[in-house]
Amino acid sequence: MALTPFTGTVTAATLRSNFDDATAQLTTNSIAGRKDWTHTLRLTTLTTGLALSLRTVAFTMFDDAEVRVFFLRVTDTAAGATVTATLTQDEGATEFLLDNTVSISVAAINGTVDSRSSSEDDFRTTTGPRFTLKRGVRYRLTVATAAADVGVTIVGLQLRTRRRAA
Amino acid sequence: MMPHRFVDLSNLDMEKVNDNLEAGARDVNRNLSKRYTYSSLIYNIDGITDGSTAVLRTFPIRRPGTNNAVEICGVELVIFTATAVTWTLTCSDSTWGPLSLLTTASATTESYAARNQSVPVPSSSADVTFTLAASAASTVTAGYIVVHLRTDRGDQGSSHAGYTPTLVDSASSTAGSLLDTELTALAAAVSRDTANAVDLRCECFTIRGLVTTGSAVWRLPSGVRTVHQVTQYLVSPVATDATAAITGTGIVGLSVTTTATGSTARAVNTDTPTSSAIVEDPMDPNDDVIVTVTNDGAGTVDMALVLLWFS
Repeated sequence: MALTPFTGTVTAATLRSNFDDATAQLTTNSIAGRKDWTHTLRLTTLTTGLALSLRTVAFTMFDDAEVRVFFLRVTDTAAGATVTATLTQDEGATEFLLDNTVSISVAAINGTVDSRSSSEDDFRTTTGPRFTLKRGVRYRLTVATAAADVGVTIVGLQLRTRRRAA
Repeated sequence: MMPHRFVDLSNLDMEKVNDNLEAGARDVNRNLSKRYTYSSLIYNIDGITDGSTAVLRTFPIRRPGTNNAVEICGVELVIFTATAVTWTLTCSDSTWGPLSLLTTASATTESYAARNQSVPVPSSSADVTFTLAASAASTVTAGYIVVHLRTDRGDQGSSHAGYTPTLVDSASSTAGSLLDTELTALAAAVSRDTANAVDLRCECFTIRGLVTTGSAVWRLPSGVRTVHQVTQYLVSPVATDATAAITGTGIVGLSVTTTATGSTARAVNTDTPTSSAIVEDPMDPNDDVIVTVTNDGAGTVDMALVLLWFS
């Protein structure tokens, strides 16, 4: 913030300049306070009969965070497989996901398929659903494959917290 | 943000000046009060047994810089094992814990325990460690430790003081001087908010049993982040080394190679990037932050941990 001091007369222009500078810097700081981070689950192989314990990760939120992107990336040549990733509240509760089931899937895997070619896993859009993971609530990421086994599978949640006044 | 803009040829309304001073103070004070940021490390413990070498049951963390305020504010322990035994997690800081968990004798039933107790991460050159141990023979079929971090972006060498304006009224005989004082105080508080920009977060990537020339890759959507440092821990037979490379749009020169110091000791190395600001589309996989751990040596890497620090 570049301060323009008053010299004898208080003018509108000087007031405007000073307050505009403060507003501009606070706006810059506010934008700088939007930071993204990720929860991921990576499996080297994912088979159709794999026990749930080997294809899930759960975590408790220590701060509120907006869900930005929920993505799934699978590398394999098993074209017949459909891989599905699901975000749920732990212990079967649903109230903190507004009773929604949040899931994404990829099919026709022949090489590397990334779910982000679809807008369904983009939770930043103005017309689609938006939701926040709440502090103190335990959430669970789970992945499963149907019809065929697949190789390296990465499931991820990109989250955003805002560390400045919006 | 400031509710009023002042224009020439109009009366100077002190209430509007005060509104702006109060709005500025409110915004900057709210910013400065949002000083804590949270993130979580997930250490993979798949395959650990009660008889595993201690270093393979031990999970380290050190803060990236001497001025970074980092503390552990919670730990979750999740274990799936076919035996009903007590697994205990202890911390190198004896004021913490321990966290004990009596497992269910089922490889598909989750056993869970958590401890929300704070413990500082006081050093950038020495580790705080958590070590798992079992009361009897047991193999962890699957499991992980979630370590929750809280960092304080206001305690990194910069002042964290807010601002309370003195309001102007009709009795203010030297309005110009008073406004100078108030605007100077506002500017100083805004500068402090600007300086307290490094709100650290951390993500952890674990790989076990990485064979020679093998590699493991993680992909993180880019979004908005600034990468500050990568720390790599390595446990492996002597003469084996591994490289953790962090690549992606906006990241330049972030790669660390660690040479192992034996299968019972933990080697560590760090690197900081020469360029790291990222503002990219998280929906575009071409912009992903890619974490690659490669075994460059002649022996299998027993365990590699990569901690990626960013804000």
